Amino acid sequence: MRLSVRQYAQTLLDLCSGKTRAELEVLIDGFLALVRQRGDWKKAPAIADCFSQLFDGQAGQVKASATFAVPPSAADRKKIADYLARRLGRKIILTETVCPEVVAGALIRYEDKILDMSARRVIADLRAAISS
Amino acid sequence: MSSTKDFIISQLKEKIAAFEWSADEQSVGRVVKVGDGIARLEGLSDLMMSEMIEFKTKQGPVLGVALNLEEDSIGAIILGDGRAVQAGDEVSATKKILSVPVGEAVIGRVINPLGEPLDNAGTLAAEKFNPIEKIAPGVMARESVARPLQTGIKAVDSMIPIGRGQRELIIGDRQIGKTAIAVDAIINQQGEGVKCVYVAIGQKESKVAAIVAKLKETGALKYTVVVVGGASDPAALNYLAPYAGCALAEYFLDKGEDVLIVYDDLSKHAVAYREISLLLRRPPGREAYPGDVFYLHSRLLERACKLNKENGGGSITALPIIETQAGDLSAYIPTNVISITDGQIYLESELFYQGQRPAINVGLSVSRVGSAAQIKPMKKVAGQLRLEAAQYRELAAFAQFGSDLDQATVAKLERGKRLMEIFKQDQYDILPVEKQVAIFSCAGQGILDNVPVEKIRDFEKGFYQYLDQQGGAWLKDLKTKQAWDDNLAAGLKKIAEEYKSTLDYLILPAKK
Repeated sequence: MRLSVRQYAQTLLDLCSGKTRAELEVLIDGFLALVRQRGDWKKAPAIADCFSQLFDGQAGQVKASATFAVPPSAADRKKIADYLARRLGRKIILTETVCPEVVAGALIRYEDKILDMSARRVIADLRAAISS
Repeated sequence: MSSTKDFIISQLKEKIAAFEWSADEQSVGRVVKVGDGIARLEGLSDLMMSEMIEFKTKQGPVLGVALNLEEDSIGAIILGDGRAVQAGDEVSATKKILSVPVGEAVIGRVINPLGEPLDNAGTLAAEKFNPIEKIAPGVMARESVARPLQTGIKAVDSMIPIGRGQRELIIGDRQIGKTAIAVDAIINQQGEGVKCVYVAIGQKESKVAAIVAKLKETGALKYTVVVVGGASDPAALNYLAPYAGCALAEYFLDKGEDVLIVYDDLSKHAVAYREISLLLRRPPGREAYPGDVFYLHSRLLERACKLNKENGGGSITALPIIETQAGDLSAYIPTNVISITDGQIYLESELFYQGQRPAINVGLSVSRVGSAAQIKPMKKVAGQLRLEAAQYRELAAFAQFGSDLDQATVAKLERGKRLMEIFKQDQYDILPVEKQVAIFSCAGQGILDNVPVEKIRDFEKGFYQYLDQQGGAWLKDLKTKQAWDDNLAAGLKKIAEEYKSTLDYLILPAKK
């Protein structure tokens, strides 16, 4: 029976609960050996990513990345993190990048969503509204 | 000048003040694998079936449609140039289903299934966008088919009549005249207030170009739109082409108008869908077609209907075309579509090569709407035609053995031969229904019995001209009355006898 990436990741997550660090090392070795044995070694990186997402989901946290036009201040960082926490109802682990093309505001990515709060989009929408 | 400047500035200020800013949330994913017009995606966890997606490629955005929602990935078809899409490209959901631009502006245009013009006649000014997939009108919104859609083809209008809102299949082998019947039906809608949609699916572009040229030459393009999914187009576009054509037709249906739509042909449509389904790894069924190939055509053809007055009273008449292999009506796709439609016009190769064109096999052709889709005069004069044609076929087979036949049988044979000659008709030589009534009435009254069989077509040609010149009042009377009576029959007989007196090739009675 073929197992999907999600099934592997969910199984690993279920097995990991309540284990000590030493037990986890043995468990992970055994798990990867099983994946290799079943001929699904190519899926291993995807399993790791999926596990990370499931783990975050179970822990009630979300990894998000925010792209700013200029390096953000601590207050801006907190503002974005609080906004996301309220919107998603979960703890936010925020990383930042800088890209001048954003112009102003922020472009936020989390899970499989993009939240476009950038001035670049606002300018484009305003242009469309004026020309309509 | 300053007032214009002030106006522009006030408009700008007004729009800026009214502008509402909001965060824009989009679902995104990534292309994992791409090839053969199909892309496999990851992410997009809340994507819905048949939702449009946008590939952000280096050459610009390319559209696609999600068709397979699997546990870990999504299978989507690429609409447009699949070579631009690469693994790793970002994909976003549009939260829309695929729509085409519709409106009066599409009439006279040649477009692809995405609504993009192909005729170099400028951009399309669409009034609105209609979704390609739509649930067909329900039972209570419909009414019975009662109004005829004249094709201008004698064999069809007399024995296999088509009504507005009917689905009549045209089926036969390759190069047998299927498209010719459909195109003649389109040309005959001149002045009838019927809009036409011709959907080419997987056809050679040279063939489509010839059809467009003919429609333009005859003036039919003024009320026709041509949707082209060509032979060199991706299977995705050929899959969407008939649905796009139907969406265009539904714009006019919703306005209460009558529409004729031709799907040429649904065999190639099924093949395109099979290609997509196999590439999406859907399990193959009979003849490798996916299990829902019936639904592919049933949901398309159910959208052709006659609506009741409360819903506008419009209609869509569908003429789907199916190509058979070696005349096999019992193959998978032909039997599927025969069971969906309200009748079929079966074209036979044997008849074609014998010179009987259009090569309609009257015995195997049927219209389930029948005489409800005929005007009263045609119903009266053509009532016995199917029976006479069937009797002739039986007797002709019997007479091949050369046995002595009684007078009644010989008379039936001779009448049948003349009937078969009348059914012959050149392509693009469409005939108004009044003239059809005239010629069939002549045949029924025995007026043609002393015209040699080989001269029947010449007789017809000359008779129609004579009718135009000398029988104008009779034609007008027929059109006004819309009923058949003894006066009309007698009037026609008089005109026909007058015409016959000018001929020199009639068979004279044998001297006793």
